[in-house]
Amino acid sequence: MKKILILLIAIPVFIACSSDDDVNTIPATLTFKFDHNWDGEPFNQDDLGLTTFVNANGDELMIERLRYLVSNIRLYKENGSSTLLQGYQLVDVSSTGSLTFSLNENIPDGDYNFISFTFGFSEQYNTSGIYSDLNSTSWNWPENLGGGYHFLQIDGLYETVEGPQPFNFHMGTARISEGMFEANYAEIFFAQDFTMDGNKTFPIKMNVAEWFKNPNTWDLNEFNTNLMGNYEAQKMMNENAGSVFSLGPVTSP
Amino acid sequence: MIKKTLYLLWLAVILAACSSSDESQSYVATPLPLEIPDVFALYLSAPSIPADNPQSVEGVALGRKLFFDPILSGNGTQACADCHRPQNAFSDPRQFSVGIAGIAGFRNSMPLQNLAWNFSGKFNWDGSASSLEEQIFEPVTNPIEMNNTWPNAVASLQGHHQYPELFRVAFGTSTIDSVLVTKAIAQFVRTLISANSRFDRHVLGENILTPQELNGFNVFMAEEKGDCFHCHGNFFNPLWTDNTFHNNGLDEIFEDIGLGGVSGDPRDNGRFRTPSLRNLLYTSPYMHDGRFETLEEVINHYSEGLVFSETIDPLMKAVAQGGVQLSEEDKADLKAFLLSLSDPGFINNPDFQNPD
Repeated sequence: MKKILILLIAIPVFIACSSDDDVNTIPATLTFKFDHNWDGEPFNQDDLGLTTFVNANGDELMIERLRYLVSNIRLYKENGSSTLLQGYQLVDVSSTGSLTFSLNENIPDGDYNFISFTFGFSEQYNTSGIYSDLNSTSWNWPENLGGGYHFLQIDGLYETVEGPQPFNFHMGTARISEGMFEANYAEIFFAQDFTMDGNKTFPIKMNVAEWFKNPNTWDLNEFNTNLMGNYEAQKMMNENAGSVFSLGPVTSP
Repeated sequence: MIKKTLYLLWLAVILAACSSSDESQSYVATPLPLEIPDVFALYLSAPSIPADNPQSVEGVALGRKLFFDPILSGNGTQACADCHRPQNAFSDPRQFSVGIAGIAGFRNSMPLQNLAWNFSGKFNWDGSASSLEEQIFEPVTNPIEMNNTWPNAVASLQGHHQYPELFRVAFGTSTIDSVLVTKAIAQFVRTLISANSRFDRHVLGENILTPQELNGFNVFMAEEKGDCFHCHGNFFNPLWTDNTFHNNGLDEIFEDIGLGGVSGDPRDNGRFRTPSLRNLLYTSPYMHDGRFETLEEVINHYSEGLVFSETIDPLMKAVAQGGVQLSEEDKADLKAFLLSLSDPGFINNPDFQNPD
């Protein structure tokens, strides 16, 4: 029985190795660590439903849920060639395990100077129903809004004169009008020099405050709930996504 | 995907067989992988089966017998099936179940369906059990449920004229213990799969839903109307639950703090596990405390009855107005859609009834 098991394990390994060509590749574990802050103050699961923040518009708010999807990380060499790391990660601040995304890959060795990822899914990957784990967590985006999957959920309460009120800052495909949709993912780029010579760790940081700040100052009194089908809100979220992420120093391991 | 699932299950069986270190080391019962319904195979991840409790023909048969047998209770009068009735999608039509000592509980019995797909791994309304086996362990000794002790329950089984042999063929040992009892029942409960409602057939391409049901589904999926889908599944999540915990705006002050009582975190107070919307036709009353007898009351709650509390889920977005304010027509359509999730073949499945 042990022999069978070894054979079963060995087959996928051989398949994985057989795609090598003449580029010099090395096997490496690439770990992407997601951490979060509010204008520099650490933001983690202890802050969910507890800590009050003030956004650029002066709205007091508390975040109960922060989840988002990152896909298709790509590493670029100076000569313009790049390696696509296919796959995706649903990051959920309430779940520590989701903050680490590890991939075992064979990567061309040498010097790199750019990294990118897709915030959400680009059109070709944003097909309704195709990711079973995301379906199981009801991460789907409604068909009448263009289908596919959510890219982001920030749910919380903000202060009004009548007391705390919910907001649902959800991003996905944008609906222009009934039956007319526009892709709404964001390509995020980081300039960063590193040498691929073994296992690497990439710290990806989200400044949550930037969702409400740059370039669009977000007024929660105007845009709070029912934003999924609100084209203007979806495009503002997309614009604000550009300054949300930064990349810390790439380290070994 | 079915092939992959079978392969994984088979691998799990092998791994379990190899890693076992007790006296049943060399024994392997007849494997009985779960039959994955088409609509699950299309859209859901493979079910989660513990590596140390693979499904087997003998284990499921034993679990089924135990599920319907009052032998586990302190005075031999109450079986799992008394509060998890097949005709009620394995829930209890009473608001609160009553234990052998005549004492009522304080939560409505949850239906048992598709639990092998509970990927959160948290069971019960308050998440107090971290596996199905663990869930099964508790009611036997709970004073307001079966009010037995495990040594006593095991002694009753050990002295029975059939059970020692049934455990031997299921697990390779006729020495019964509580772990094997919970494993057997868990195997049976994992076979309780419901995936043949009219809506499931709609998902698989049959053109059978009425315009009212289809409009009801649109109400369910519209953020500015029902907005049910953030917690209760969608076309591509046939579980009709996210299996996680939410405060859905029932109370300003909690009599029952739910998940908070388990986690000790006040932010979890008033949070309860999202129940599946499958088979609502058979699972009245509704909510963790069975406060609503009808689906109309449930829909009215989300439409007009929400109240604010500190831990309310922000998805209860219209709480300031009491809810999402559905029209009477939308409410009726929503109800029609919800009833299209009924699966009569599930509650009448001969494999799920009392074997004796």
